[in-house]
Amino acid sequence: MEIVITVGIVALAAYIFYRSTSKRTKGECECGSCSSHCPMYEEKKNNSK
Amino acid sequence: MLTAALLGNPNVGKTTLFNYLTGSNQYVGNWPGVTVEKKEGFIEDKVKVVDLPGIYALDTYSNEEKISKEFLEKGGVDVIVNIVDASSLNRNLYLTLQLKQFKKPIVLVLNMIDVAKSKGLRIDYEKLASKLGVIVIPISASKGIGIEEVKKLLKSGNFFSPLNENDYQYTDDEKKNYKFIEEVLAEALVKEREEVITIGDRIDSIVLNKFFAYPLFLFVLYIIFKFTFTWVGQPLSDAMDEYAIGGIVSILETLLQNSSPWFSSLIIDGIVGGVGSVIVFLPIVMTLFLGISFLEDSGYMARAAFIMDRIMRKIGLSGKAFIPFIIGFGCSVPGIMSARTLESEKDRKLTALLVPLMSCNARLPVYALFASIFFPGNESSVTFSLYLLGVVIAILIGLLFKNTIFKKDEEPFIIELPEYKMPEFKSLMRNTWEKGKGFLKKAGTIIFSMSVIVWILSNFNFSGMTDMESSFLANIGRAIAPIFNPMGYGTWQSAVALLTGLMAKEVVVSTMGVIYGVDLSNILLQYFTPLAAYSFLVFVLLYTPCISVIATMRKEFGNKMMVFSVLYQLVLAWVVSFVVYNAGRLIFG
Repeated sequence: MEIVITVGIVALAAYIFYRSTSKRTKGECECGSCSSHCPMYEEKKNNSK
Repeated sequence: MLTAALLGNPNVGKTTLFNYLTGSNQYVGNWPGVTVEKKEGFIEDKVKVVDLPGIYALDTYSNEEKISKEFLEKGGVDVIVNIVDASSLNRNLYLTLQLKQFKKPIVLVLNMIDVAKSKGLRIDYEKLASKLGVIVIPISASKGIGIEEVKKLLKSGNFFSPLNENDYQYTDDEKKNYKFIEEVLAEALVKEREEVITIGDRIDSIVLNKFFAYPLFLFVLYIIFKFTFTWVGQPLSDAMDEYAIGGIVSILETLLQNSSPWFSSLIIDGIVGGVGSVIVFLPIVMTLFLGISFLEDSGYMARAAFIMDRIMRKIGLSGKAFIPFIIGFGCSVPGIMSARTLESEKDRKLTALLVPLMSCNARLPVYALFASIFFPGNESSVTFSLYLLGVVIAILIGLLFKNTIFKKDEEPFIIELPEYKMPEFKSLMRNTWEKGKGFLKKAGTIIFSMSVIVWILSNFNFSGMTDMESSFLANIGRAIAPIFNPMGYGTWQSAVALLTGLMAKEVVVSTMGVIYGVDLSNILLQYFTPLAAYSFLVFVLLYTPCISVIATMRKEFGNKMMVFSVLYQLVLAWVVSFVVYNAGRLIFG
């Protein structure tokens, strides 16, 4: 059981790390200060329309 | 679907009107420069409203003006909604005249009619409309007065009323335009009484006084730090650490008492130690930004930009560049991006290089942790000194760059000082919550994943599970640690914390939480002296913020600038940290 939970935690952490790193290296918003006055947030919102 | 372009001078209430019209939730600040990019919203799928950046005219070369001009020319605009400050029509109508060159129907929205009335100004709306050849609607955006009328008109699409024939055509002659405005206002505007000195004028005479302005600015900031670190934020943070995190740890210890030691270590030291050590600073982050939002919404921040103009000019920038700096106190990424609002390429680059020297909120948990351990009772002063040091170093580096790689002429700075107002509770709460939400999101994603990775790297090596001193992480740390020996924190633990901090600055704390365990406050005292701790904080303040900032730098200015910014900040951080530590040793022994 401990092994299964550990594998789950590690897989989740690896996935989040991969997703977050790839977003960050593309210069996408991951700064944690996600206020709607961030120009990055605007760009993303406009592009999704 | 009709397209309406919303345009006006900075800080006349465009974003507030946009939010009312479209039901959006955009950030509204009581200071210019909030809208950097154009943004879109819809009125019942009938009208697309595009909020354009605030501009004073269409004849200079800032990015905001380029964005607005290009959109008006190529954006398929059906109607221009020109929002103006009813209490300063003489200044605002210049843009209105310039907008006539696009030969589109113009709806002139007179905002802040309540303020105009309180100043004794009576406007003849019909005369103004007929003289300018526009439709005039008086409103008070902050009070929601008159907005329904604007909405109704836009939905009806009935802009081509007889009023709308452009009987006056815009000319390139600035004098002629101003003369025309004078003539229009002579007929349409009546001053019922001479302007009285308002409370705002009285406050300004102190706030903008050349002797009091700077000490008062520092005092205001100091009060915010006191509010954060002594009165509200820190006590809440301590309570959260003791009851919430402490409670979770004791529950988990009970639940996991029969589990394998490695599994219990992963959950308690790895995840709770990592994420928990950062999350306890949530009240501090939220309290600080509550204070900053209060300053923004009250109208003081625009004054701060105004009084900073003299200093900014010395480093080759105008006061306008102070706005990206203020945004940089939240996060360097939007700070660098809002440098787009500056006129020249040199200004934009210089500002982008200096913005990361402002303490972003990600560094706050590191300051808060070290200040509470090494400088108990003086947390506010220590953190305040770091914020101040960032500004001072930015001024010095600005001076250096101005006289070397960014030689340029000075440019004038125009800023409209908004009316003072009591910030709305809802707006303050929304801005503060935005910061808190961002912080929580980060704790649940990158900080969680980095905590697990750091735990694995600090418990394994090529031969399997091992003690921490022989782990991958310890070996990586030992390879870098000598760089930090001259500053008094050349341990492998500090080295890896700074290295992982490149992912996000909060990770410096979570890494230490994983390596040293949950009881950081006692353990850190064995590894740092107060002087080494302060020197460590100086390094955290000045070295490359995080990979998001690096990527934004590349996106905005290209590879050369990105490499330059990373290297100069690393060298700068090392040099200043070295000077602080060694000068401190000479002084304090």
